[in-house]
Amino acid sequence: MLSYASKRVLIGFLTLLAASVVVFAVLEVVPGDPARLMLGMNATEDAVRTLQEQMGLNQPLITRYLSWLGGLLSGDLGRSYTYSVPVIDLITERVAVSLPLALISLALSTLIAIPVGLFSAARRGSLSDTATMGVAQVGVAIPNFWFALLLVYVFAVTLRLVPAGGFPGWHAGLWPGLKSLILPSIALALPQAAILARITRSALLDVLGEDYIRTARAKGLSRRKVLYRHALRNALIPVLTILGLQFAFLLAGTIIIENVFYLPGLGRLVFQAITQRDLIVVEGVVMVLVATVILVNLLVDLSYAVVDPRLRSRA
Amino acid sequence: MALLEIKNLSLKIGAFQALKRVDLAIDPGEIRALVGESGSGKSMTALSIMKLLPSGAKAEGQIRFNGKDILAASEADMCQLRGDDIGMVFQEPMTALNPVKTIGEQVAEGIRQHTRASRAVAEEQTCAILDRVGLPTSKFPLRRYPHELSGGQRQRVVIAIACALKPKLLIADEPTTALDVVLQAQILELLQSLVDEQKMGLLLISHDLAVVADTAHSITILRHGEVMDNGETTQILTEQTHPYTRQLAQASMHVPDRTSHQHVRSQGSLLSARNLERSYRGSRSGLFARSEDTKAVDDVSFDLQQGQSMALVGRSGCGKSTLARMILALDRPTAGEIKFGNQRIDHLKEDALRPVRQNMQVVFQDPYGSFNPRHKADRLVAEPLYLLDRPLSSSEKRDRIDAALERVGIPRKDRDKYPHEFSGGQRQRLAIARAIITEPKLIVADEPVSALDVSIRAQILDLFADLNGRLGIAYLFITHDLAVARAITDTVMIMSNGKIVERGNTGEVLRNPQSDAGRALVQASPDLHKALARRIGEQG
Repeated sequence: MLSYASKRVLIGFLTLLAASVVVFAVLEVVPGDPARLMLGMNATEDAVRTLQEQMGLNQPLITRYLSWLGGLLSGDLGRSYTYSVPVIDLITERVAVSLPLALISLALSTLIAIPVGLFSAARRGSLSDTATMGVAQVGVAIPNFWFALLLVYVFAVTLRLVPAGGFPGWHAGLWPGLKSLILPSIALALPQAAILARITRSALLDVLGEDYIRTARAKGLSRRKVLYRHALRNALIPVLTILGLQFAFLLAGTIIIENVFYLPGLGRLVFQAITQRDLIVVEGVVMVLVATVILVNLLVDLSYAVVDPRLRSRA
Repeated sequence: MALLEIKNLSLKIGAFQALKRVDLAIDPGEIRALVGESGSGKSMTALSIMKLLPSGAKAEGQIRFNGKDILAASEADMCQLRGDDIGMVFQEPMTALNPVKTIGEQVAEGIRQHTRASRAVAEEQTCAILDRVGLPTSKFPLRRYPHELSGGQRQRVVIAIACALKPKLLIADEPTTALDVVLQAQILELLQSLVDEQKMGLLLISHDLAVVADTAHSITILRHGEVMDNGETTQILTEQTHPYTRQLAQASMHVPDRTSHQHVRSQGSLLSARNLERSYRGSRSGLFARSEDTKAVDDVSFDLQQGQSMALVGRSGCGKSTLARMILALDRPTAGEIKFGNQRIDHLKEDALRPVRQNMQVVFQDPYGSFNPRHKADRLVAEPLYLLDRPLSSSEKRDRIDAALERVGIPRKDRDKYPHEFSGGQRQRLAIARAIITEPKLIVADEPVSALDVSIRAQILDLFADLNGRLGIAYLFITHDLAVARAITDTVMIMSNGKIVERGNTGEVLRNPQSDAGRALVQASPDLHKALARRIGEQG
C-alpha cells in the first residue's frame, strides 16, 4: 500500500512540474511581446518597457522560469495587470465560490446517482429500470444552462424561495451564501448525476454477471444482500473514475452556469482574463486548476487501492 | 428415502429445451456422478436444484430435497436451504471468490447468514473449516485476499464455504476441470473424505469418465438434456451396455493411429535449445530492496527433430508456457540460445523473424479467445499469410485457404461464417487450419484439446496425428494431460520448477517415471482402465 501511494504521489508531483513548464512556455510561444500583447497596439514604448521590467521579461528565460516557479511555491502568482491586485488574492476570492459549488454539486450528484444506479441494476429489464434510464437519458441530453433557466423561473421567479442570481459573499453569513449556491449546484449536479447513474448501473450489471456473485447466492444470500455486500464495492472503480473527472469539470468548466447565475467564480475570472489579455491571471488560474486536477486524480488513485486489495500489493 | 429425488424434470430456457424428463436420486453418503458433454444439461440440473436458474427458465416435474418440494419453494425458503443444507462448488476457482473481500469474511459470511452466530463464534468456525480443507490459519491467515492464493487453494476456500455448515447435499460442478492433475487428485480426495465424514450426498458433475470412475458410487449419463444411462458406476462403465456410454468411454481412451506415416520422419534437427533461462525480477519489497528473482525457466536444453512429436508435461506454473513463448520468439530468454534449423533466433528483431514465423505456428487452448470475433473464417485462417516472402494473388490466397480448410475437415461453404457460428471443435479445427496455412515445419500446441469434449477431442487428436503423418509437421505439445501425451507424441519432457527433470520415449517414461515430479503426475493422472480395475478388485 505504501509503495503504491508513494509512487502515485511522485507521479503527481512530476506531472505538476511538467505542467508548470508547459504553462510557462505558452507565454513564451505566444507570438510577439507579452507586454505589448497585454497593453494593446496603441500603448507607448515607455509603458511597454515599464511592464516588461515589471514582468521581468528582460531577464534570461531560465531565470524567469525559476523565479516564477519559486513564486508559485511561495504562493506568489504575480500581479494582475487589469485588476492591479495580486493574482493569488483574486484566485482565493473566486475559489471561495467555485470550490463550495463544485463540492455541493458533486455530493448531490453522487447521492442521487448511486441509489438510482442500484435501483435500476436490481430491476434490470423491468419497466421501472427502463423508465429510470429513460429519465437519465433525458438528463444527459438537456443542456445545463437551459435547465438552470428553468430552475430560476420556478424557484426564484415564481416561488421566490431563493435568489435568482448573484453571490452576497461569505461575510454576509453562511446561509445567504449557501442559498445563492443551491440552484446553480442543482443545475450542475443533475446532468452529472444522470451520467453517473448510467455508469453505476452498467458497472453493477457487469459485476452481477461474475462468478463470485453466484458463489454468494449459493451461500444463501438474497439478491439484495448480494447487490450491497458483493456487487457495489466491485462496481466502484469505474464510478470513482468518472467522479474524479466530474470534479475537475465542476471546478473550472462551469462558466456558463456562473454566467447564468451571475456568480463570481473561477470560470468567469479566467474568461474575463482571457478577453482582457491578462495573461498573468490566466497563467495563475491554469496552474491552480492543473494542481487541483492532479490532486483529485491522486485521491482517485488512492481510493482505488482502498477499494481493491489487488492494487495494494501491486506497486 | 432418498436425500434428493428428481423426477421427470424438464427445463425450458426460452424456446430451448435444456432438460427432458430427467430422473436422478442421491442418498445420504452417496457420490453420484453426472456426466455428459458440454451443453448436455449437467449444470442446468445443478442450478435447478439450487433454484438459481437464469431468468426465462421454466422448470417442470419434481425435485424433492429432504422431503421438501424445491420447485414450489419460495425464494426466502431457498435462501435458507442454499449454503446451509445444500452447498455448491463451481468450476472456475480463479473467479469464484470476491476479489475485494478476505477469505475469512467470505467463509464467515455464510456461517453468520444461517446461524446468527456472533462474529467471534463465526470466526472460530471459519478457522476450523479452513483448517479442515487444508488451509490452516497459521499458514493462511483469515485476512488473506483471494489473489494471494493459488487456484488450488482458492478451490479449497470455495469448498470451505460450501461445507462450513455441514450441508446434507453438496453439488460440485466440474470442481477440478481448471486444475492440474495433481491438484485434481487432492481436491477429489478432499471431497471424498468430507462425504465420508459428514455423511452428505455429493452430486459430482464432470465431463471426464476417468475422474468419476475413481470416485463415484453411481453415475448418470446425460446427453442433449436426456438421461442416457444410469446405475452403479463400475457396472455401467465395465458393461457399457448403452451405446452412448460405450461411445464416451471409447472416445476418452482414444489413441490415434500413427503407424502408417512413420516413414515421413527424417532425422534433421529442427529446433534446439541450449541452457535456456528466463528469470523475472523480484517484486520491490522496500524502497531499495527487491525480493529474489524467480527463474521461470532454468537451464533447459533439448532438441526436436523434423517431423517429431514431443510432449512437454508438467503441473501448472512449472514454466511450460514461458518456455513455449521463448521458442515462439514471443519472449526473449535471459540466457541461453535457441536455434531453429541452422539459425539462431533468440536475439532476432521482428523483421528478421518473419521467415522463421512462417515455419513455426501455434495453436492455443481456447481458440475462441484467439480469434477476432468480427472476422470471417477465411480471413482468420489467412492471417499468417502475410509472413510469406511474396504476397499472394487473391486467387492463390483463395486456393490456400480452401486447401487448409479441407485438410482440417471444414466444408468450403463455411468460409464466410463468423467464429461464434462454429462449435468448439470446429473452432479448434479453424485454429489448426490457420496454423498450417503457411506450411510450417513446427506447431507449438498449448493444451489444444483440454477445453474440448471427449468425442471432439478424439477427432482433433486424429487430425493432429494425420497432419503429422501426411505433412511431416513436428509438434511440441504442451499439456498436463498424460493421456494426450501418450496418444500423440513420440517423446516426452517432464518439467518441474523451471527445469526439465526427466525425458525420453513417451510410452516408457509414462509407464515407469523416475523423477518425483513424473511419478506425481502419473499417479494423479486419471485413467479409466486403472480406476475400473482397482474398483473391481475392491468389490471382489
